Amino acid sequence: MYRIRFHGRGGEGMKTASRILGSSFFFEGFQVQDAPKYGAERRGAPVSAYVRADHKQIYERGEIHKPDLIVIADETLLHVTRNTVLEGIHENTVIFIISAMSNSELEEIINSGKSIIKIDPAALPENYHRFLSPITASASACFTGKIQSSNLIRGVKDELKTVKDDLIIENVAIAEKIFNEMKSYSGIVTETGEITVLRDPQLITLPLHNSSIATPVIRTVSTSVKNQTGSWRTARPVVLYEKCSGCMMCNVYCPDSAITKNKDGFPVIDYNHCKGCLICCEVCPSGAIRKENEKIRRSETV
Amino acid sequence: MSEGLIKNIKDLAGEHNLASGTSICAGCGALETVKLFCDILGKNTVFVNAAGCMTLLAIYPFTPFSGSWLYTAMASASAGAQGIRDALDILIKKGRLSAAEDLKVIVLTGDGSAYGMGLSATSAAIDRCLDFYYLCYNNEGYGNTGHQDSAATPYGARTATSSSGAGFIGRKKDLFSIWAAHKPAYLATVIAAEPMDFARKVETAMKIKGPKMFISLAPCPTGWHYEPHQTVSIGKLAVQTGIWPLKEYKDGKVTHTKVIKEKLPVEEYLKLQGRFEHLFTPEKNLVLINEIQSSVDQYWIDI
Repeated sequence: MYRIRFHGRGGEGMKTASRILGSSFFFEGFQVQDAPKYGAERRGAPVSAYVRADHKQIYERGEIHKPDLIVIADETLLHVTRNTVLEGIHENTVIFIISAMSNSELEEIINSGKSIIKIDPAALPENYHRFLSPITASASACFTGKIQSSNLIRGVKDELKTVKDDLIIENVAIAEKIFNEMKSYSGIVTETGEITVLRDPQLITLPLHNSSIATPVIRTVSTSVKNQTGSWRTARPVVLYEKCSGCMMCNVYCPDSAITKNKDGFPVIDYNHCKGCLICCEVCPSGAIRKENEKIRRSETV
Repeated sequence: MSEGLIKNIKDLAGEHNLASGTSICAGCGALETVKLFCDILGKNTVFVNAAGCMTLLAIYPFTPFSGSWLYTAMASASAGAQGIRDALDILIKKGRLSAAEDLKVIVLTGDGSAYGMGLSATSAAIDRCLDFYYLCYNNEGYGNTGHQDSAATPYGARTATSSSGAGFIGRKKDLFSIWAAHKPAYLATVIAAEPMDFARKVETAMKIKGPKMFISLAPCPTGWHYEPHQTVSIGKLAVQTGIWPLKEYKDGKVTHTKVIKEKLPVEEYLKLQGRFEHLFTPEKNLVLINEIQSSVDQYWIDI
């Protein structure tokens, strides 16, 4: 059975990628499961999706804990949820990542000794972010060596049938391109047989506690600041103080309380928490907040 | 404009009572609503939250609130509020809590609960004259599960469960009138994009004992399909086109708090949102747009 796990951020298309790959397997005659992991999916928040494909009936259910292929569409996930992304690597696991990091940097961060296949965003079209579904799905399809390009294209078209025709054509074109470019890796991802999960359940009887100690209780206020949601950003608002009048509209309308006021009465953006919605740019009456590309700014800081 | 502490919009700036770091979508109109509500109401609060997007505010061990938070099922938040109010009253009566330490009890639900599943428990809470606040963030669909249609979905909008043809065929339920028919102590529609109107209404409610109900239109970039930075502009357009009337119910009377003299055409609001894209492409569906326009016009004629 093939067990493939996709990781990305909400909005990057990992659910769609899993469905394209699932349909492609299905058109090849496989039995398939494809699903996103349900939880707190949000635009910009870490999300995952998975595909199981086998020639036999699939009885396994739930998340994939021992993946044959891990697809990482967003390298920033390695800094925030590394353990989730890399969970369950086994001796034949292949890791596929879209990243501008060098191979040695990647190996250092991932540190698994496993084969890492990388696509540098520089080798992709400038607007590649809009096409992460066909890119990751077609690369994965190619890695298995079991999916013909015609069935991959059918999978792409089937999944995107509700969108506009020209968008389908663009998606198909990029899927074909990546499929051809990845040909040298055809068959690198292999199937793993049954994973025995049935064990003696070793039931433990928990004593009944009263609700004051048995219910999760948060005893400190405002602990959410520990979550650094700044990594969600793809664009960064920057205050141009020479234009700012200190009217604080940005502070009033920021949904995330991520803009504070300094002692001179001017706004300061808290980049550890700003999610990059850019409402502040839109509501600023003086045009004093500029939108900048987060990826470029981040690499400058590094 | 306001007789309360908030006299102009700058009074709403500065430190906020709702902390950052929540896992709510970027540009969320509901989060903006809750933040504003917390700022006006102060820190002595306890939120009773029915299942919905805002459930994600407090995921153990994290919370953005400066007070307590209780999670309930979708249908029973108002019943939960009754329990908490009773407990607080008993503590005060027994002298274990001083009156100064009393907490404001706020039910926080989305439209799925407020307009649908939770309506019955809320109706009963108003019947009992429960002293509480109800804040409904209305993003016009079941936002937390992929935006399926709810009883608050507007006519013609596309949702996950009305994705083809002309969009949602139902009519948005008039929850304001349903709640008003219960004769609560206070009831208002608000929107975070009009913070001063919002602040004045919450400050008015704070002086009143009994059920204080708020329905806030909460633009949702994820479910309405627009870019997160447009949340405030779309909210303002909802008011300027007359689609979201700002009004309040007090002492048996309904008053419109913001009457727009020269309303913008509803098109200006609809065309910014992907959920109405089918009204404009491949060709403009004038029949449907006119239908939406005339229902808005009729509303303003009738009042």
